[in-house]
Amino acid sequence: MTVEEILAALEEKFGAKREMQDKWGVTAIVSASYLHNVVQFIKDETGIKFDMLVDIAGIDYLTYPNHEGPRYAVAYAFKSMKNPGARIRLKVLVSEEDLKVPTISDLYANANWYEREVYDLSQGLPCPEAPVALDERLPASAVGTAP
Amino acid sequence: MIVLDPNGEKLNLMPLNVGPSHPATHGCLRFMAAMDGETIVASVEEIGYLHRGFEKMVERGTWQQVVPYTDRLNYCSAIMNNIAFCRAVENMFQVEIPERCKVLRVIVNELSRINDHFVCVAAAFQDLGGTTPFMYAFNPREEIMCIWEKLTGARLTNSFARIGGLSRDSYAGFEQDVLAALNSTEKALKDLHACLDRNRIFLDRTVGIGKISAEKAISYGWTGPCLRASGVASDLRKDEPYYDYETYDWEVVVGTQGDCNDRLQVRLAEIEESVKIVRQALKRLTPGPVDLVDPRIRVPSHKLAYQDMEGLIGRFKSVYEGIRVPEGEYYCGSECANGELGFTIISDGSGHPYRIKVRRSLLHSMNSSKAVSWLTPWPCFRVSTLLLENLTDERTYYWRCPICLEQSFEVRPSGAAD
Repeated sequence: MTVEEILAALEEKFGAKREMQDKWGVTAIVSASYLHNVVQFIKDETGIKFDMLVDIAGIDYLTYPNHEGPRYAVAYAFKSMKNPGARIRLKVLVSEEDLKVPTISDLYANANWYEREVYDLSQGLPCPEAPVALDERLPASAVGTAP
Repeated sequence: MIVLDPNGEKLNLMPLNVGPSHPATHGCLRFMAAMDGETIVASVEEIGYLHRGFEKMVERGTWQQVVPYTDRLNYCSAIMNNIAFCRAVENMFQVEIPERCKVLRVIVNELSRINDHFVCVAAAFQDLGGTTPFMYAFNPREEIMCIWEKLTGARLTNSFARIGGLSRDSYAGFEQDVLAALNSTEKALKDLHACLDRNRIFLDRTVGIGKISAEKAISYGWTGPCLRASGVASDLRKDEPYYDYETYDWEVVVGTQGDCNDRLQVRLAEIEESVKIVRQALKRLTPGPVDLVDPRIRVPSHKLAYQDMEGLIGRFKSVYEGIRVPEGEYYCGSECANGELGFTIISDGSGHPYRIKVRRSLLHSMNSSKAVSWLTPWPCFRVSTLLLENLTDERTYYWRCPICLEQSFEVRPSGAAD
């Protein structure tokens, strides 16, 4: 199974869409409600097992020229240890009205810190529901989201 | 401090605050450890004492102005970081850099790796109580630092790579200097092995300490020598080859135990492999251009700018407006000294990056310290994630101690309200 085939499977199973902005790799746009299932699928059920979460990036499109669609996005990068060189990215679009992205910290041990980094540092994106109470992410003196 | 362990047994532990240490020392972080004798039973780590805002700062400048910031991601192998960034942007342009540039980048990459590994190994021994390895490792390192000085004008946070080339070609006598540094490196390796391999104190403090299994290391996102020490032969130079790394004769070094000793020995063995690569690369170093001749990517040389109208326009535009990287989103990772250094790049097609997110290789090892430090002595942490500059862009995170119930062991930031 190639990465392209996995993308096709994601399109079929989870209604994912290819992110055309990624002209150099494979990125699938998935809905937040399916994120956990999609990640579980690419981690365990595909031929290429994407067993390493490489990075999570929070993106704010506020000043992006001619941007259409939700203001925020959270981009996940995965790679496979079993099939060296295989990589895939997932992207969840997040609107200001519904600032919630499910956590994947039960699937990858390093997800928690990254999710909290998205929350704390990514340009005010109050996002993934990392399984810690809100007050533990930032010092007790911090109020609201990161500047 | 009386606490209950996960099985409900009472333990009498001593809370110990370690750090925050000064940024100039390795590891600007703070630990709150629960000690049973000399053993850490639980720890709460706090990072982010040097939040520099790399990701936000680079949005303000042009693409080329990102390069000096990347040096600071790991000052022990600064040039390697700017090469990783330039490679990502060059991939977005889908251009091939000239052959001489490729070979020079391989040479400085591997010399940086040697430098970085030497610092890591030497400082780890320092922490374990032995100062001699420091002297052995820093002799060849000094020679490499002198090469950096001649090459870039700076010793520490030096920039050499540029998008589409290098800041300048190598100097006369570069090859001889590199060869001399390689010879000293090999001598230092012999000395280090003689000093450490059968050193009872050292082995007692590293063998079987801080073990992590391959599965766990992968799940924690470990890359680089720390992951390879756990027996996973993962190296981007082989898996996703660039700069013709696949054509050089070298091996990926893997460990078997995944303990502190393996992580150090893998680094020492990787120095040997890097020496092999540099020796081969020196033979491939033939005269030729180091920069792309394309004013849309690489700023035209002064010579061109003064004699040619197009060159002048190109220079003016790329300095004032910045090069225009194709619009899109891209993730590109390179094998740096401590693992995969990746950049998620969002370009809106203008002369400035819209957003750059850095994937720091060491954040992952740091993250897993609660898994590794469970019932292990202190030095294991130093060995696994010695250089924490990569961490310094992070904000403080707090962990509640996994072992302590009823918040009996809670870390609070200094100055925070109770």
